[in-house]
Amino acid sequence: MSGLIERYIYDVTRRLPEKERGEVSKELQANIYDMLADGAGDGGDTVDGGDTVDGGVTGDTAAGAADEGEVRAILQQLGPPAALAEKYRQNPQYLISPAIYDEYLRTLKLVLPLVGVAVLVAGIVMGALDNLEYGLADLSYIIAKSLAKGLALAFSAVIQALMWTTIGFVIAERTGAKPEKNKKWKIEDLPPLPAEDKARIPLSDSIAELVMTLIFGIIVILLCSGILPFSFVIINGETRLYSLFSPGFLASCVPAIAVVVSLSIIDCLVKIKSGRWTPFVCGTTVASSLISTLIVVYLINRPGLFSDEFLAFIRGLDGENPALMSFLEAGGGRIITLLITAIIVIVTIGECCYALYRTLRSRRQQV
Amino acid sequence: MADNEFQSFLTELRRGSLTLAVLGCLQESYYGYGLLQAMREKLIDIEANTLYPLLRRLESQGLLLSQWDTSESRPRKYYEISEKGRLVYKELLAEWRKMQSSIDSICGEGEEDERFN
Repeated sequence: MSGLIERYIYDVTRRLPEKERGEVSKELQANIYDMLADGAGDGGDTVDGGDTVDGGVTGDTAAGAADEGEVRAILQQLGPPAALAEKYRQNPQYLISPAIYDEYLRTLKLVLPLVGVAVLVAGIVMGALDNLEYGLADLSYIIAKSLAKGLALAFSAVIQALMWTTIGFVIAERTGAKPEKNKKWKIEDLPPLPAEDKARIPLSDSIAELVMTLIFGIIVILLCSGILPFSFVIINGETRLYSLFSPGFLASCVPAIAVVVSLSIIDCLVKIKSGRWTPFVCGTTVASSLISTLIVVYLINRPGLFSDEFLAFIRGLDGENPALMSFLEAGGGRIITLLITAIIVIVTIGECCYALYRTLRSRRQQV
Repeated sequence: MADNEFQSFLTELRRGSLTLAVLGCLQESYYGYGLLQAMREKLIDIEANTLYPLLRRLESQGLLLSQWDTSESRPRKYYEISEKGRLVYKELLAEWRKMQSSIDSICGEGEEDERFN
């Protein structure tokens, strides 16, 4: 039964930091034996413990002489070891402390739906692609399969996102990266009221942009890597699929689109993080769209855009539509790519001007 | 009101006063269980599992000094108030008295008696 006391003390101290265990253990033991000696277990009625203090009797034998019921009563009084250990701990144990919990929740609320929706969409697309071989005849089967794949992927992605966000915050907690705690709060830190803040970038806008970018990027990369056919159809007795673009063009598209999408994602994240049109956000937006535009313009203006099959098909149309052919022969293809280039450039300029306009307006607002 | 709900208000209310009571008692030195009994004699309702950790915390905060007495059959850890503890005690006590008179003037001194009669 003295085993009970040792077990109790062990159960308390094993929850404490190593360097405190020895002292707490010794102290707790002394206190428990004092209580036992006094008969604290049964409300002051000493059985034989009261007299064991004197005459060189060690604690162990005092407990040995004490009645087990008394030991139990005293340990019961001290309560659950976990609760006692909690009281002994100097610093409360947190995975994520209240100081950063708010931030943690806010991040989760932002990240989890985002990841969930994006992966759900991507999963449905991938599921549909996987099952296209069954043909359109079995549409309900394909829909069910795609949904199942989308949901499964979204679920595991959300769990992953939850885990990594939590790990990130735990690391921040352990390394003491608590900005609010370290620097003194100033009146100037107060955020402007949302309604009056003309520089604000609505979170929903940024998130929508991010989701669209992801979906667009996934589809284009799937198209270019040949998983999804990017095709034109010749209906000439039989239906045949041909690739519209040349393999060389498609191959160079994949890394290019990856870069464009990554830039756009970075831009969205910067907007989400900042939430306002600051010079930095403006710079990121302008740089991202300029680089993306340069890449796309370079790609479509290279020779060898269309596939041989497509060109052959166009030539085959010669007889039926001579005007089209002569237009193409006379460099019409060039004109089309130039036109597309012009549209892209104009859109980009518009985007940059908008970013600059919003940023400048917000600067004025501050002054 | 649910019993444990009231208990949490009570715990909240007592938390600071217990520190004051412990510092007050430890003007002379006590070992853990001895202090528990001394405080209970003064009708301060404190649990062993609150007092023992509190002593350790106050010691680590420098308000108490401790010493192991190994001359008796069992070693005992004796606690006593430190110099810093005395200063804190004095200020806390003054603050507590101020608080008490404020509470009295807000709640009325007579009311308490009414409730217990």
